[in-house]
Amino acid sequence: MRNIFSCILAGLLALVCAADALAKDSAKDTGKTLGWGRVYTVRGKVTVRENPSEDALAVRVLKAGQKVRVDYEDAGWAAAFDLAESVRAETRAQGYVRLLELRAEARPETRLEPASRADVSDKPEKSAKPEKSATFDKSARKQPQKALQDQDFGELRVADRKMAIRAGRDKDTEFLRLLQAGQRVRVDFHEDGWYAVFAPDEKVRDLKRAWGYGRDKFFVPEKDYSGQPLPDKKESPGRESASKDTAAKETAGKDTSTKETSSKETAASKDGHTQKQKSDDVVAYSVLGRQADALRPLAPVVLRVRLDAASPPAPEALRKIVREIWKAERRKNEDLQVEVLLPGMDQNGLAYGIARFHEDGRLKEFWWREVVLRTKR
Amino acid sequence: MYQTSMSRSNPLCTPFFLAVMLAFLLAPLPALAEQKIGFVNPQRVVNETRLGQMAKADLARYVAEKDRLAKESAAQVATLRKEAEGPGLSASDRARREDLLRRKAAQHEQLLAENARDIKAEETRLLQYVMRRAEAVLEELGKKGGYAIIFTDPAAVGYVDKASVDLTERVARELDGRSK
Repeated sequence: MRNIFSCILAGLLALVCAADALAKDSAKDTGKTLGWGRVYTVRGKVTVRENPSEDALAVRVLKAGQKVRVDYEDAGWAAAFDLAESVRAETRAQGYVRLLELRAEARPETRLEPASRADVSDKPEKSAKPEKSATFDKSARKQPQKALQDQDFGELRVADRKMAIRAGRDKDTEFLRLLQAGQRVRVDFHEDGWYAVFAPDEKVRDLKRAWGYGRDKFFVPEKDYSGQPLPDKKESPGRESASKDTAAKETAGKDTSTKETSSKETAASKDGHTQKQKSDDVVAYSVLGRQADALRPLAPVVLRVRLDAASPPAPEALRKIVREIWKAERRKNEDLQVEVLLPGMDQNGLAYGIARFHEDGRLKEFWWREVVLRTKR
Repeated sequence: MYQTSMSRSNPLCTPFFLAVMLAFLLAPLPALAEQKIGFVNPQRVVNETRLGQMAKADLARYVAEKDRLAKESAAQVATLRKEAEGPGLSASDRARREDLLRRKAAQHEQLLAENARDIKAEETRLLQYVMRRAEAVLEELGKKGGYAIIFTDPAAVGYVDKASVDLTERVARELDGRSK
């Protein structure tokens, strides 16, 4: 009788534990898929444009009753996403909406907060990166959580190159921000070749207040830094503008994954290629060639790149990708035409996507060929 | 006796040797008899294959993009014309606007010419892309089917017995199979 009773008790206990774990998991999932940006329900008509500019091409019009998720707010514009979009990446945006127009013609939904946001104390009021701290790795959680009041914790160092700050002590974790060469930061919690990186004027030695993690070898004492020092910028942890984020995307990874990049470059240089590694939400690509027409000096310089993408990006995403590539690869005042190939496609064959640009970076012409997808492999 | 013995011992006179020689002489004849001539209509390959249809859709998208550019440019010309012809302009202002209009109109004409040239070039590129894939099919078909020649130019053929030599449907079917 006693045995039966204890068995029932143990079973009930196990059930309670399992239910609790399931609830946590589902909450985490919800946060991951839904907990970013702001969701609006459109009441009138809102135009979604290709670029954050009034002159940009209108790619679609949101109608009354439609819901839209917006993020990457900058200079009165925000990137618009499909409500079901689970990946927070600007490249997956449908286009851009003017915030004034959106607010006039739409009402915000109750914010879908990630469950994991509860353990993030100082998040930006801006929608910028709600998942940042939520994706801090386990090693961050392993660190002592109590905040130590210490005026001079860690040490002040200078980034000796442009480098990425990541969410964990691993190059594959989420990219959070870009440090400029010469930027002063406070570093501490040295572990596995990585530092936790803080604002230089941070007073509280608490991992929750860190910007993220950076490779130790790229931080040098101020006296050893030979480059141009940068003025300090006071920024709250995690606060970044969309433009900064975009700039970061262009260069992130080139430095943090120096080993990988350099090895790739060495391997690729044999074929005369260069390899660029992009941050998590931007597809990596390699430059296949850059060709100018000597007979037609006014003809655009053609840059052919191969995307490192398992599947062909949708045209909308491709528009964003080519724009990023143009920003990163364009040389001074160059009329650069970007041609995108995919893995398995003939290097000298027809490209999948082709884009030409205005002087200010807006897309002038963009088209893609689906026929090449049928026979690329 | 000598002759007899020679004739008996001469290997050239054995039935086996004669049979081998006959086989050698006759062997190429069936092969020659199987050499065939075929014909493929490239336009039908484009029209009747998924790959061709896709290339056509790509071209239509390209043309639409070029049309958009042309319309934008035409709208700018129209705006400038309206401004230049508007009332209440001083002579110098009108001259300046007319000059601007002339330059923009010339640019517009140049754009239209460039668009037409680009569209033609893109059409050629896409057609070549499809035909290159079709050629690979043709080559295989030619080797397997024992075709000595497969014509692809309808103008080069005076008479075609479609029932026996037109391979267009087979090529289209094979191409569709490969591009799934």
